[in-house]
Amino acid sequence: MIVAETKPLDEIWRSIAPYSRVLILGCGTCMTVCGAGGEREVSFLADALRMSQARGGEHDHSLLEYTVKRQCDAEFLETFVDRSREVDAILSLGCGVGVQVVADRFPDLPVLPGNNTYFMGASSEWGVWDERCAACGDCRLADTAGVCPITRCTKGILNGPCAGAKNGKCEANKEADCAWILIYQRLERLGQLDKMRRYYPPRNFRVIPRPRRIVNKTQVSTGGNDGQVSV
Amino acid sequence: MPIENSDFELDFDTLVSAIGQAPQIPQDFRLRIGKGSTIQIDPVTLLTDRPGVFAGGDAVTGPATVTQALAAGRQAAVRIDEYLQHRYPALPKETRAALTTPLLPRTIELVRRVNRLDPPVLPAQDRTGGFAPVELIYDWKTAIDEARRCLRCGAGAEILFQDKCATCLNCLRVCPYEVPQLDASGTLQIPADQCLACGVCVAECPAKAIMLRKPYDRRQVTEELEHALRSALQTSSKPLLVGFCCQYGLFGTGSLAGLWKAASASIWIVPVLCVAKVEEEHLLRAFEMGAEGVFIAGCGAQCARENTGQWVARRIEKVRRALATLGIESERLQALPTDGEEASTVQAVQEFADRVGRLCLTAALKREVRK
Repeated sequence: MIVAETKPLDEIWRSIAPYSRVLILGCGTCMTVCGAGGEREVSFLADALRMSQARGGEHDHSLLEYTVKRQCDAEFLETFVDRSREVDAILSLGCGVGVQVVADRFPDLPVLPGNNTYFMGASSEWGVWDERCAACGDCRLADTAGVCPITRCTKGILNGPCAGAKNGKCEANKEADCAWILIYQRLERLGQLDKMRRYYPPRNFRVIPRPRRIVNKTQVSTGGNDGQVSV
Repeated sequence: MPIENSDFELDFDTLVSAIGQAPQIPQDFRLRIGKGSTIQIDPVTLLTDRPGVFAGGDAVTGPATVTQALAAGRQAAVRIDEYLQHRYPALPKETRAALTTPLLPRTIELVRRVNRLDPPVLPAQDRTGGFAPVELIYDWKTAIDEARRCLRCGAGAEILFQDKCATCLNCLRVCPYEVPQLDASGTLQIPADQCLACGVCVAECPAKAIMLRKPYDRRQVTEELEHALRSALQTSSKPLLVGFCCQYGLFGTGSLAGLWKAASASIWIVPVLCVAKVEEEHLLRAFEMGAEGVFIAGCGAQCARENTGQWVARRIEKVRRALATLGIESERLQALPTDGEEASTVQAVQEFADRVGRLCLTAALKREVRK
């Protein structure tokens, strides 16, 4: 899932400063799970901003709170169209995708990001998130025993390990396990060490032009086919 | 008791008895009518077959006493409140007892074991000389410690809003007693009768999908806070301090209340059942509503639960970071170390009050200089 972090409060203050009525919009999926933009975070942010306002007296914003199930599908955004008419801006606590879908749906409103979106990852324990996938579009995990060298090797090398690992940790990032040592250990356990000896040619980055698009539709015939479904 | 001269006979042509023997429910009420023309209701929710319409009293039970009708009215008020807030009705005591199952062995293992405290007894040589009771009573502190062993089992948390639950697994990971479980369909279940109501998951749920059923839900903390702040703002001109204090411990006795009146600030206590139930939102709201300083004081090492201090520290840290970025001194929010002793607790509160007093003074001076 997508992992993000709420922006510092002073940055959020600066971004909403020109707008007097702001809707703080949470997202009930990834952002809730990673604790960056669920209903609790929405009310924490609103409370913090209100408190600062009550004490400082420099700002005068009215803040609305709302959390949708998922910001990245426009249908969910229809549930607060009425409220959107009462505000001057939307502060989205969605990921980068959510912010853009909201902006697309509300062309007449400024949509501000409240989060910094970082990566796709997994939680290794409560409250700790690690990057696991770079969405490179050319998955090689079968050759690397389910450990991704693109994301987990700091250098992203396809033929490892380099000579820089020390005590199983990366020389460039002493916190991180060396991905290639993990790959070796798992391959050894699986009895597939021959995969270590193979050479993997450099990847062709030209196969991933941006922005990417996936079309995955079951095409429904609209006539001449007696309503039969063709795939 | 027979009443004299109350037994007599009179002659009448027609007698109309108007003593409410059977209800007459108008047709256009569109309610299901049952035996004896009474309104049919759900015995637990008191709802009729028409959504949003409740019924009680003689119209439901048939002729009964005024006391019973009054009780039905009161019960209906509770049910209507629950209905409007989308809460499940609290079951009657007998039903609740039947639903409560014994704690699972794993849960029992994880509950902190606090041994029973025996009351003091009269020394053997003193017993022969008189009729004084042999078993003496607890002193204040022992009584509190003994009472605190109770964990109020079966008053647990519950995922009340499954549609909000993002299955983030926070509750499963933070529960000190390993109560939440994933069922086969991947849905999180918190068996309320296994839950020990520590409140950690309620505060840590990012979707606000978990509620404590009874006796203390988040709404009540908010209500207590607002009540304290409203009363405080009306009564005092001293800097206002708000303390979230555990009701299970020293703060529950009320023995400290008098001492705080002498403090240099006006101190208002928001009683909570275990400080693990205090959420970041409550802390922020206290500041928003005019508190100059906020402290949390639990039971320290005497807490009946594990790691309460760690949760408090985590939430304080988060709010302090927010305070710092908003230009408010983070020292205004503090967890006070308490060891359950009256004197040291009062001293800690007093020191905190002095610190906040100094911060207020500095802030006021800074404002003047800027002007």
